[in-house]
Amino acid sequence: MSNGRFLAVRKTAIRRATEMSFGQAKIESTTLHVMGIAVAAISLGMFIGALVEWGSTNRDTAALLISGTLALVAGGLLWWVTVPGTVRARDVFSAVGWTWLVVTLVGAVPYLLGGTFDVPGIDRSGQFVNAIFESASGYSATGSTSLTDFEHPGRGMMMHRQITQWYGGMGMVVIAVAVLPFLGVGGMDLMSAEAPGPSGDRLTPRVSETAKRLWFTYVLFTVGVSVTLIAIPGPSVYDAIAHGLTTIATGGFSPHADSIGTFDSGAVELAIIVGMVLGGTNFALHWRAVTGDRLAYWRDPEFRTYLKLLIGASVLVIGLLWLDAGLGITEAIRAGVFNVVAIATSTGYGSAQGAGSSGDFALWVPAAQLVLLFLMVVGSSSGSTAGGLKVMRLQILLAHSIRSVRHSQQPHAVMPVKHGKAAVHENIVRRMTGFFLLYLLLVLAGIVGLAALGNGLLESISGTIGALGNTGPALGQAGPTANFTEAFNEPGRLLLSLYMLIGRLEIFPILLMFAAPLRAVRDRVR
Amino acid sequence: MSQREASEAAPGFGAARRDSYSRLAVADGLLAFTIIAVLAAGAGIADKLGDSLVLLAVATITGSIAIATRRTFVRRERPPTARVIAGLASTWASLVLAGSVVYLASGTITTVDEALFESAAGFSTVAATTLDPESLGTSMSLFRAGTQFVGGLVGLLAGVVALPRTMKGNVQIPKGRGSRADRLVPDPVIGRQRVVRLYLALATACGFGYLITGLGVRSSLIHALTTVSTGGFSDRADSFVSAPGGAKVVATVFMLIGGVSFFALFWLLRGNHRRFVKSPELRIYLGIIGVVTLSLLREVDGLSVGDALFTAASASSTTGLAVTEWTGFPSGALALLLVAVATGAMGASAGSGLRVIRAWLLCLFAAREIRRQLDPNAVTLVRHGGRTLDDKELDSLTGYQIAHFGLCGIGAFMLALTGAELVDSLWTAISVVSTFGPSPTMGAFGDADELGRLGQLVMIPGMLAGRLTILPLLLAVAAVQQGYRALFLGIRRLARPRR
Repeated sequence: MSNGRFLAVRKTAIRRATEMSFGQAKIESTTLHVMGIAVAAISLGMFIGALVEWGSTNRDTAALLISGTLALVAGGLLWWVTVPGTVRARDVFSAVGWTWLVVTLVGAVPYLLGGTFDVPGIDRSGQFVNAIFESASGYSATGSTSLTDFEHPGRGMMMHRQITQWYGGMGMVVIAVAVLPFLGVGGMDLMSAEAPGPSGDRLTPRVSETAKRLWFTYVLFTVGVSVTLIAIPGPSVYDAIAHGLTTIATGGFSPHADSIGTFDSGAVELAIIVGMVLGGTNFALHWRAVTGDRLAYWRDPEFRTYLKLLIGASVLVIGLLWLDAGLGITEAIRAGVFNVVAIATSTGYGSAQGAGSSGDFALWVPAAQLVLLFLMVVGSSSGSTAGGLKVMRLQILLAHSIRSVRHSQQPHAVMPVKHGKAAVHENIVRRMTGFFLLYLLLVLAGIVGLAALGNGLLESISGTIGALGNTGPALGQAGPTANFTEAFNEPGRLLLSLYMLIGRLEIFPILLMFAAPLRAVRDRVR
Repeated sequence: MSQREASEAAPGFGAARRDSYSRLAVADGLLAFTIIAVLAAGAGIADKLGDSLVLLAVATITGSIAIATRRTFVRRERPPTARVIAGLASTWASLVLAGSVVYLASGTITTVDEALFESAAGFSTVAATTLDPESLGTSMSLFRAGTQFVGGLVGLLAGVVALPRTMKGNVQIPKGRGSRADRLVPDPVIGRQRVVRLYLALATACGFGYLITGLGVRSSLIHALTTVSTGGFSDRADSFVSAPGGAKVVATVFMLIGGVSFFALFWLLRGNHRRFVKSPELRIYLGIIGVVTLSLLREVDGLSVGDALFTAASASSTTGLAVTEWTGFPSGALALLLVAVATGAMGASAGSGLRVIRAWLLCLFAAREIRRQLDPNAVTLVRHGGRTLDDKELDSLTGYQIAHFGLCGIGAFMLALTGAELVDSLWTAISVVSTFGPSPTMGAFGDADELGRLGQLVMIPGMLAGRLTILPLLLAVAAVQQGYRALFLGIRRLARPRR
């Protein structure tokens, strides 16, 4: 045994002996430790829900209180008995993946205790599946709903539902600063290449400091949207806060069955559009802008493309609705812009006032629906709370594809893939290509899986893409005025729940979360 | 002195023969067209004389052009990829044009757009048609089947001989370090001859098979031409629904063979059975067909094993022949069929689609990225069939395939603009780009009238891309982009004030 290894073993033995002697034998597990903190943290949302419930409808107060207490105790205990261990890439994947899964399960408890889905036509197993689905949709900030009766749950339960999406958006910020840099496919590391100067790599040298700054921006914008909605005639304070929580999070939950269409107000829609666009923008850019760098947005090539994509898709959809579907130009502009932004930013709010209205994109002309499907795939900017492939990846994949064509003309030319003016490292291009291929494989598997489970082909295609992109509403029977209970069967909804989590965690963590525990077991066996 | 050197040294009429890969490729294509047209005209002369005369007239023109071109031009050196692609695209375009002239001149089709579609479908081996096959005479039916036979041959030569030598991302068989498995023989001329011989032998065997199982002489000949080429045209409106059981078995076998790599078939013929059986691509190809067959049996009530296998083989080999109206199958079966069609046949085969080898390599590429996330410092390689693929080849492959997916999306959007439903648009675009043909819109028997005239026109570029890779289209776009850029720079130069 070498001297260094001997000293390390002796040090570990002394530390363990010391811990044992003081009766503080703690389990060394980063995954369990992070899980404990997260589960305890979500109890706050349940308590806030209970408070709102107590002050209003007072139907689900007990359910929310009990769930909150259970989450706090369980999370606290888990946090208490564990200490964080090593932080390698696979440990980060494991921590994030398992935490999100457990948080989703814990988040379903209030729905089950409160009987949110205990409505005629849904049996016990259906209620269980719906609770899981709703929780997954919340914490992944997707916005698909299995609620069939929006009047059945109390206001506090609905507020808890809104808060789950706000947590989901907040978690996305953590992923952007703590997980994606490990993957090298998230874009924060690419943005660094664009930013001039040595400090451009990250907003701050410490991940925790960066996360705090981004969270501050997130909270600031949430408050901003809520205050704006309060100022606009139409929504109540409750509605304004509820929608404020899910706009910047690009979640899309609403306490109303008709979503934003309930207010039938152009001003509300405009405020929400601005909020969704902000939510779909890289939060690091927001921070830079907030701290005085006003041109940060414009210098970013991804942001410019993001805006061009939104404008281009809006114009295309407006044209199709106006010329092909026969809507009036004003109606086409209002319905077109709102739904394009809602889908592209993966928010998923609806502006339809009932089935068959102009905002019901499930009844739009097929070409317009195809544009929406494309936007569901692409999503918004990297480093934002939105889902999907992300604009930056699309830019790089396109540049990679064009380079392949040019290579056939000039086989010996050296042609780096560029993002903006900076050359992208070949490894990053390959990782992004790998990510795209995995995304495609998952989409195919999802479509075949859902269809094989007995769901319609249109619903399977749009449902899979919508779930993986965290968009929310899909097409066909799963459109913006429908719910997923009627559009998909129970196994289909469970599969979609899994897809929402995979999409939220940018695929890799969920695929790799089993690797860390398996390797730990393997190491111990050895 | 070789035959080619002698030919170059003594050019016809004492004039120096110019070098042109594209023109010679077009000449070869037109020569094949001429042969098919003359044979079809001869076979149907007693049936419809008018059709035969038109075919002979067009054959005379195309034959003259081909001979004149071959006497004027010579192929001296290995051309760059762009020129090979341009040559293949020009060949395809001239064949489509000549084919549509036949349809228009004979009065079989009266509108230019439908004639172009029918001809393009033929030369791309897409089983979609605007005609009622039962109303056609013998010569026209044979010519129509012949277009698919020639189309299959062009695709095959492109995949086996022309492109693997020049185009990195066009992986038909993986090039490994130090491996020369991407070539049949060092000389492309000999390679081409071997491919043509095997192709003809397979078609002949298929024809005999049909004849023995009672399909009739005319039908046997027509189906032999469209089965091995993975074309899918039939002289019956209901394809193989009313065909004898034995003929269905023969069709299934030869569709499967049509989708098998010609490299693998050569291994088999040379007695290298072990290499053939151990080919990972062949195993995956057969595995896909097996899975689709079992799933069809599970999903569709009352479907026989033979019909399920026939449908799966037709989809995987991208042939398009049908024994049942499968468009009414449950959504699970339809989704799986779509995946099979999109994946397509093996590389270097007469079939098309993404190709099994490329799909498999893309999966391996994605798996490598997962491994890299787990162990960032580990050396991770993509291996296939005992060979290691280099990163540059994989980069080219992924680059082209991203464009392939994009093309399917654009095709679907164009179809949706014509009013087709979303799922139908996606299905049809993927089906056409994979050179399969039938879709829920067109039905299992490929009735292209359902697409509408605009829909038919927008699908023609997709057929080209499906048959010859997406590169011709991309190069055309690149040329337009470069032209636009040159124009823009010219205007700016003119507008700039002179000092």
